[in-house]
Amino acid sequence: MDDGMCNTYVSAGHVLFFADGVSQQRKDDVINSSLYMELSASDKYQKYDNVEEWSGKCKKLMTLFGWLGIREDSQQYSDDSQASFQLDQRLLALLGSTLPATLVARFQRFLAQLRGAPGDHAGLALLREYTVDARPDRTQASLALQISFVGPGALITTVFLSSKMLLPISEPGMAAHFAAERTIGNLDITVVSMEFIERQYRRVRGRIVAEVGSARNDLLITLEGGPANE
Amino acid sequence: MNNPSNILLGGTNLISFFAVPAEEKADILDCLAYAEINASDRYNRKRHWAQWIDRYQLELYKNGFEITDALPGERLVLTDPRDLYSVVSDALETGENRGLERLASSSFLELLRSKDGKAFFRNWFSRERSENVQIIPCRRDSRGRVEMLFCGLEMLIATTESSWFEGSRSKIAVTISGGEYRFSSATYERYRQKVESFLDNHAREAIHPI
Repeated sequence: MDDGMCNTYVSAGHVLFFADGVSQQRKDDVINSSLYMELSASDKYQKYDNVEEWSGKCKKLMTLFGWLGIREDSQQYSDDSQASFQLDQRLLALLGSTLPATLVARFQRFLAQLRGAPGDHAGLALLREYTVDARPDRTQASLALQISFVGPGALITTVFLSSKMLLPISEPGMAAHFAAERTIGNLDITVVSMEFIERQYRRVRGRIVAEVGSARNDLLITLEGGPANE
Repeated sequence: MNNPSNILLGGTNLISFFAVPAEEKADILDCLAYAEINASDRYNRKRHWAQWIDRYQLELYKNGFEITDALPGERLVLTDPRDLYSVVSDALETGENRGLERLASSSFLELLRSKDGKAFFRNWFSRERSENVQIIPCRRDSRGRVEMLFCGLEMLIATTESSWFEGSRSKIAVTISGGEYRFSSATYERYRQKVESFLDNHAREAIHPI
């Protein structure tokens, strides 16, 4: 499983950035627990319609897995907000001061990929499948995306991003939500900073590995570097 | 909550560590989780907070925490939410460990400025409600021992209707309960296996098949 090189992964609807020097054990722990959170929360809640309950379930699991919150900030913009801005710039402004420069640079490359043409990288295709509401009877274009940054110590920063825009939208998939200038529709950005207490995760490691074992083969793809499962 | 050693658990326990080694920090977090689960199994925290917080502290004591001082158990009534910090801070600074009490005050201030704190007061004038938080600073003293202040705060907001031209009035009743403790890894060694196997089982039971 250890390729020693991969640092950016798509795990279903979650993008994970690892700083250089993060051990493979830590990467596996974070990837497996994030995958379990996504699948378990989605078993209970339809995330596009119940994003608050869905992310609440994820946060409960984070605490159980030893991802203990040290800070939470959120920015919410309702339908009647008249402002417009670039979502990627807003995210970089929120995260830039707390992340190492290498992670910020990799995040910028990822944002550029999101704005690119669809049908490119397998990781982005997987991400679209798990973050963009594709139900035929939907009335809004919804995006529910999770992004985590894992530092060289025990710090994890996770962004819960929920965006809804009225149909029709100008660009397909995720691109419309990250368009250069968007009028704010219904947008919620929550940034949670956490400390990973490995002793707590050890209590559930075996169960989590068993639960996500087969799903990992289908739902984990590297965005930069070699294959995720070796 | 700018200090990276502050941990907010479940929105109600604000735990801070100052110069506490990683192993002792993990031990203390285990003991707090053990106390939380056992107290919550017996009492509803919202409805029976006084019993809940007594049980919580009893569980700490049963796992080797040595009590060194008790908080006065005061009940204070305010009419302006802006007074909350100063009133609680004054009430806290009556014990013998001023250093820990100051840490508790600064943690409380950070909590009030946080998202959870702001949410609590958003409906100050419109709803009756109760909330409780536990402020738990831990630090290593000059002799290498770990000291912990367990400060529970229960806040009850009550809104009363006055005459039509005065509108409604709100007041907040704050109860402070808790104590100061000393934690020693050597003492905890006797209880470690019990706590860890309890938490192992609890964590495993919480993982459901997907």
